[in-house]
Amino acid sequence: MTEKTWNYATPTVSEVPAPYIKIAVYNLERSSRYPSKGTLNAMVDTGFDGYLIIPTNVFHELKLDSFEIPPDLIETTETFSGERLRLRTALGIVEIPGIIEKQVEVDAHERCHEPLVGRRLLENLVTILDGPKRKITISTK
Amino acid sequence: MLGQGVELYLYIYDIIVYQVISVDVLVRGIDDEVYTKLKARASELGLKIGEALTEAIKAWLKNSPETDERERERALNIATYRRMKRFLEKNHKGKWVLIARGEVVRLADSLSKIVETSKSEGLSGRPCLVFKIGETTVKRTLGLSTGRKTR
Repeated sequence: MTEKTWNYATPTVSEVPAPYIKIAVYNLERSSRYPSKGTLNAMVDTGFDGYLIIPTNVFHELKLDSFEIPPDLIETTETFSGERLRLRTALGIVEIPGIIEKQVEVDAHERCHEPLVGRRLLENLVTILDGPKRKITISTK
Repeated sequence: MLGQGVELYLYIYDIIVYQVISVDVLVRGIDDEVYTKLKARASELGLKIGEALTEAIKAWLKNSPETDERERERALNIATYRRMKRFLEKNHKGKWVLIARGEVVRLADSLSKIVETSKSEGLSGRPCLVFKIGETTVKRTLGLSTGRKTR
């Protein structure tokens, strides 16, 4: 079993600290990586049922549109406020260093300001949110 | 003689310059409020309406996705997908498909073969569509979704 713990951080859109983990994203050919060195912080969002959603500029930088899923196969989601979101989705690879490396569907939206990790990426991992200590721990089974 | 030549040159130059650099157009249907704001902003900046409109059109063209080469290639691939969808679903269900340069480049049993083809065909980094025929669909719930979804 491998285990990693990270401290909570403050999201760009809220003052309430949230669980963040460190990840790296690759295109399917592994010819590009984001960030090119090290990792980036991604907020764990249990309200999102995908794998990973990233800002559009990161999507373009990685040239993820080299393995993009046709938009007709992607359903638009209407949010509680009635807003319709049309995502762009491509196949890519996400790594939580030392924990997992997985081929996933990576979503992008122009109004996504920071990467969000969704439930599907975490579904085979044990995730513990320690609110009082403001720490998140992820481990393999 | 020389004077006539210069005059003729200037006459032709005038025609070329005025015909190429500026045109007079009549545009119908501009939103009244938008036009009022444009006039006010142009006045603030000391620009003529035509100059302000030219700048606005330049900015629009620059930011328009349709002018981007990648977006054009992507749009071509999407059009190919729509044209081929029924045929692929009828004849190649369960196969992975790679669409690039506006054509179906490869049908394969696995995604890894699609990735190999992308490299060998020199498609790395170019806009391509990939999916498993009849199986790939993406459904997402984001935050406070009501669960109502539309295609």
